[in-house]
Amino acid sequence: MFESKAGILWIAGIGFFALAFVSNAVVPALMYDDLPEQTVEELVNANLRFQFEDLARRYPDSFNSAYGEPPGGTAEDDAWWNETTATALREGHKIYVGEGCWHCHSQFVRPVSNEEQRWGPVAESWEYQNELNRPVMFGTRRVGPDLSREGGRRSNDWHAVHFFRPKTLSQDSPMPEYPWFFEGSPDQPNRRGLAIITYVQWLGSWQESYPWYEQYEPSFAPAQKSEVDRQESQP
Amino acid sequence: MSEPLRDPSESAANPAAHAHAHASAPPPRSPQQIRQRSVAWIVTIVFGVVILIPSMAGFVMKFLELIHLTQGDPDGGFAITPVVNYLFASLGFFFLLLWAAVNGMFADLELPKHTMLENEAALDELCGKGKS
Amino acid sequence: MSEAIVSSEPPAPPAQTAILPLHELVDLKLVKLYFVTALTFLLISMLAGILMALQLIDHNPMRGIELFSPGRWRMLHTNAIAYGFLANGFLGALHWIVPRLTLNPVLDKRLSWVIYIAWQGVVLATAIGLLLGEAQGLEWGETPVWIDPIAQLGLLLLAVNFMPPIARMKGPIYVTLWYFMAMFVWTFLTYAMGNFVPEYFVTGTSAGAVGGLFIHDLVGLFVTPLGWGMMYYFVPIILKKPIWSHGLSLVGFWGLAFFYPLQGIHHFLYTPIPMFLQYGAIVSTIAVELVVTTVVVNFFGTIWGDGQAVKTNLPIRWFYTGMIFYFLTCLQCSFQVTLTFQKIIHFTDWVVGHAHMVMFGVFTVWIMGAMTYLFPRLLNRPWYSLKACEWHYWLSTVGIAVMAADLILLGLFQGWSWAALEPWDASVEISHPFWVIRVIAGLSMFGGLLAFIWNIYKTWTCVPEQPEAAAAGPSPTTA
Repeated sequence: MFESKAGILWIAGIGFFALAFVSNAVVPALMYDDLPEQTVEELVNANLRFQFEDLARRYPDSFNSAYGEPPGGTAEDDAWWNETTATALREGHKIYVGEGCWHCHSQFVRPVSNEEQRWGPVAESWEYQNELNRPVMFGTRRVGPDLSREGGRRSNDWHAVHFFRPKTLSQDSPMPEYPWFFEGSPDQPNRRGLAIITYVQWLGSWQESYPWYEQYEPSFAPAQKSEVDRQESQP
Repeated sequence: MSEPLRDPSESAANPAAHAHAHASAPPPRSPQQIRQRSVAWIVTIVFGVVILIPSMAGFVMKFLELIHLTQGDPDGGFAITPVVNYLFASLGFFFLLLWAAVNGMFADLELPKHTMLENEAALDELCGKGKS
Repeated sequence: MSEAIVSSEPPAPPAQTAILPLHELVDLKLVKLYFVTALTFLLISMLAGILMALQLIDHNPMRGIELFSPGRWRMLHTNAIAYGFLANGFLGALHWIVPRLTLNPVLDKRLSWVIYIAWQGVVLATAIGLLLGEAQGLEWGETPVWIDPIAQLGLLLLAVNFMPPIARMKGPIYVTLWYFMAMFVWTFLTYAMGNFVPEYFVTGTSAGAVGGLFIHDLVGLFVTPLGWGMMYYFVPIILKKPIWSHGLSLVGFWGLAFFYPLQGIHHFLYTPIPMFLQYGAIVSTIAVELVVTTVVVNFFGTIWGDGQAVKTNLPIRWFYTGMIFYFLTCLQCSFQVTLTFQKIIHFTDWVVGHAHMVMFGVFTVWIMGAMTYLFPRLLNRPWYSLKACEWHYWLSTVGIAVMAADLILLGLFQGWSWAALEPWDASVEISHPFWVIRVIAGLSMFGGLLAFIWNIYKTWTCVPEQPEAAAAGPSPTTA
């Protein structure tokens, strides 16, 4: 097998190959520093809870028929809200995947091309270490804007109208309409509509700089932060 | 390393000569052929060195960089998943390669391309269609 | 039709003593069925692509209908191409090539049919799942999670069916079979890795690395080996001369094996994935370009002196067009993979143009060439209209060339617009004329396909079967 040119080439190829393996597999295995994967329940934070409760206030009928009412009692209510937010978040994620949103919207901010100025802080690993990134929602194409810092930037009713008919709010938007998230009009989101809005409002809600506006100034008064947030941001 | 390095185009241009070369033992070589052969070897070795030295140097440098990285970056561990997958897939290939080599799959590199044409001609004839 | 072949060639190949009759060797009916199915899925996929393209220029005729949501049809577009068209087209070609190269039939003909039916089940279930919003969040692997195990089983059976005829061969193996053998193993592993690992085992950034690997390996380890394997078979037999250098072709094969699998992460440069992995992916991507060059040189060495064949022989023209596109794509790839280019072109239509150039400009074009060559042989009839064949060729190739150039250029403009921090709407506005051209180019490609389908239909129904072929070969039943 040494008598041919091809033979020598592939023997050399295997040598390098083996070396590449040793360097790439064994070394990282030694330094593997496992970040705990967060469940959806752990992802619910005060920012998201605020938005979710806002949905209940704005669309009481739709909300009640979709998720029911809190049972009453301070502690019970709190647990109920957390639970329901998690449910909506999970459903919203499923819709985000199923509708193919992630084919036109990315979810990561690169450290180049002035993206920090447009979208906000550069993406970091720990942000993706959770159940809703199975598989990871990085995305590969931006027909529309990046969404990883979208939470809190716009109000719930803005999103409702935008999902119903994007053109009413951004004139040249090529985004499709999603009337099946509503019962006929933008002020009547159904369960799916509430869920997808919850999901979008969740994106970036774990950030220190929440909510991120374009041309964000760091002197902006910091929004309310929850315990969860503080823990997350210092992994 | 008993066989000379053959120019691939040589046998492609002349299948008959090719068939002959493998039907009998290699003919005695003239001094000129021996010189050509050693020139071919030297060229191969020079090319090998030219390719291998920079790639080895690059590899070692990157490897050192990696070692530095292991001390600082907690994300390095993410490398493991794709690589382990890769390892499994390639290990199979490695054995396939050994198997093939031991079975003499690469003893006569240019034979299969003639065999396949002959098979095809035979099949077409069998089918009663002389395709032009 | 049962006599053993009396071979007339002087040096009898060592492996062969007697050849099975052709109808026992190749299941012609199945090949035909695979091709027809493939074309059906291509038709659906192209319609889906047109729907999405029309949405972008704001002329979607199906606005606001849930089952026609462009987001869902966008996934149908890619999945129908990968699993419906390419897989079926290649499987049809496999059923022709492998038995003829090895002179052995597949393991079991009934198994072939089981695989055919199971695979169509997988593709249809995928399509329905996608349209109902059940996608899995993995690019090129949106197949709903409950279908994945079935598809995995189908891929396993495929290997079980096709490996025995290759294994039964004695003597050195031809490069086509090297590619095919590798593909049976690679595809199985790639599919398992891509569909199960990021869903169940890892999460976050490392899952991104696996996802990138999957996207890339699906092209590189499933479609590419099949495509080149096909080329190494069809080009020599049509030109009636051996490939220029079989040794060089094996260099290409092993080069692919060693450099391709590491590249996946180049889909996610500048993500939080560790930088050294990104560098590794970049280097091996550039290395594979050198391998590609050896392959392309080999094919141009083969046709050297027979250049006229490109004009006169339609399948050869298809094949070499695809090779030129392949070289261009890989050249483009070795540039776009660098971090310098990535800054600008990532997330833009440049990538979309690149993907179309690979999937249509190379692999679809090759399958079309193979179909143009094989349909007359499968049906025992000459083409009804050679003019329609020409139309098919020119509409498709001009269409894809325009589309690729248009989208690649647009990608640069979009990237610059974003980097300059122009308002988002500005990037949509500049895209509009390019998107209109893309629709026109897409319609041209679609027109080519319609011409081809019409031609097949007419050939099947209007051209009388050739008598001597009917006497020799099996009767081609009209499905």
